[in-house]
Amino acid sequence: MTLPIVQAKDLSKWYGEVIGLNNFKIEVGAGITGMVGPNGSGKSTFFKLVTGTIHSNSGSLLVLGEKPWKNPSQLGRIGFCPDYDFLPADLSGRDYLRFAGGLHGMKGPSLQGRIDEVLQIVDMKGAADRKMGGYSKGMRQRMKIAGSFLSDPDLLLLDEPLTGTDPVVRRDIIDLIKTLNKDHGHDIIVSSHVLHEIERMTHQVALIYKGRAVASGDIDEIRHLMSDHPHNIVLEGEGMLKLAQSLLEKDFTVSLELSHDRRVLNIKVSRPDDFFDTIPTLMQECGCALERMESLDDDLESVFKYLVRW
Amino acid sequence: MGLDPIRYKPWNGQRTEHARRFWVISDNVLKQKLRSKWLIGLIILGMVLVFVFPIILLSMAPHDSLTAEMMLEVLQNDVLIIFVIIIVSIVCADLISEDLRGNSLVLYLYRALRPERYLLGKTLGALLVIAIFTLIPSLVLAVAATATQSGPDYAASAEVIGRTLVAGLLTTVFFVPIGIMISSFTTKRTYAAVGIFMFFFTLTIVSGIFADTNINWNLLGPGNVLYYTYDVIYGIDLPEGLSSIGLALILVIIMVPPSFITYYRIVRKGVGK
Repeated sequence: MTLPIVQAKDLSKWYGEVIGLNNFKIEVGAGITGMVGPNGSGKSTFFKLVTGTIHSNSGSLLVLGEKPWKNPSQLGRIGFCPDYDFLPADLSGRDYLRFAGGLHGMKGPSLQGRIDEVLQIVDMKGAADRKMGGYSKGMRQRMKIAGSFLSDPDLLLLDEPLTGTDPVVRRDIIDLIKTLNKDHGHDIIVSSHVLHEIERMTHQVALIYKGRAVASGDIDEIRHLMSDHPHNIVLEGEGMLKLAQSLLEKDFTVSLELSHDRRVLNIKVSRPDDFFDTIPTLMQECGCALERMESLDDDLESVFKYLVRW
Repeated sequence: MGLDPIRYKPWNGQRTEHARRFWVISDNVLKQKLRSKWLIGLIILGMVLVFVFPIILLSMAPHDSLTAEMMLEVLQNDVLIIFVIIIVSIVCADLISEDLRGNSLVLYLYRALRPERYLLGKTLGALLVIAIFTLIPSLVLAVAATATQSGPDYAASAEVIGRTLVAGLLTTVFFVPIGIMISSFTTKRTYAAVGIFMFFFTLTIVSGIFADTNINWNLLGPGNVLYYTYDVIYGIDLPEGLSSIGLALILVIIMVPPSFITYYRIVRKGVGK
């Protein structure tokens, strides 16, 4: 059995009267782990503790088997990509990587070789000699990630790497993160406040809310736990009245509400999986044309609402 | 740990020791500053106005050996001090403020570099740039005067060269801690540059106003503090009534607490409480 990459026990950190983390417990294994939580939930505090830049008020934390506080040699085994933009506009991408490598003690031809390799991985070789001030948001994100794994760390921490990117860049960065784990051997903790983005990278997640780890494990298990609670779903299209009548006969339907123009149907279901399995057949039987269907409970706040209610 | 042994290629180059990595920051500051044509122009202008004429004059005029008085005549010069303050204002203004503005402080602190090493790297980088104006020309002047002396007492000249080295180092270091401290107070380099210049300028004005009432008011003016310290370095008696303890105290106050304040600011901004 392999040791956990990160192991936190009863970890607490508070800033004056503000609690950053509160009796936080987590074990992060190898591979990609998603750390999901709304803004202010404690993700950045956790990353600061893992990188040893702040010290916890209580509890214990082991990262790669060692305590990170005042342990610079261990910090060299961690690559960190913060959520905000810090790239100097007047440096070229290559110069930035050379500088970042220097801070990690890398030098000489082996550093040059590593920079070329990293630029290749993040697909930035063509723009490496341009000033970073002229980079697009996606390019800057790639360069930030490149800087974080340049030193070949054992553990990569990516804080909200998808924030502010368009869908195409988002897909590319998700692919890059998967490649960094699968092909380049980095264990990765990636944070986000969007559950489905994390789901595209990994099934191993930890949910943080108000400084506590409210759930961790396989995302399907978490979804399964959620499925025990009523789900609100919106359907829009033609023939909603007939569909509503059919749905009323199903035992998973808790309540129904049809709009005045009879185009929008709000439904609360007790077993969302059964609902989603049944809906194609019902639509066919009723002859309705569905234009939109969305689950109002797929957002993270709803997930947390379910989880903290227990 | 999730490795694919076929494609995974670990980086196995040699790394420098942690304790020496602040040099990367110093080197970066030096290169960045020397790319500024304005700064280079200012340094050259200052050298021409302060050092070039004395170098030519001292080399051509007959002299037995290099003396402390010859060096003091060049160094105790208001134009030199004004140029040093302007150069320090330009060099130090963006050292911390730009990192605070662009959040690049994390670039350093998350890379196995402690705040004190970051500060050391930045300070050393600034000192290297400032030394181009404050240390090198005065040493060149001293060596040139020694090389062209007519007398045989090279030992005395060598002693003055040594004292010049100390005086040059002091001039280099003297303004930097306050410059960096003011840079850590703001995220705007212009505010920092104006703040640094005005800080020293205001002290000079206030000291000038009250100096007639008591000579020790001169110790409030940074230029005067340097002049008196040069006197001490070159073995010249301080003016009568001037407190040597006060002079030492002012030197310490100008150079030591600002570094601690800057360190505290970096820790607060980059690490948190």
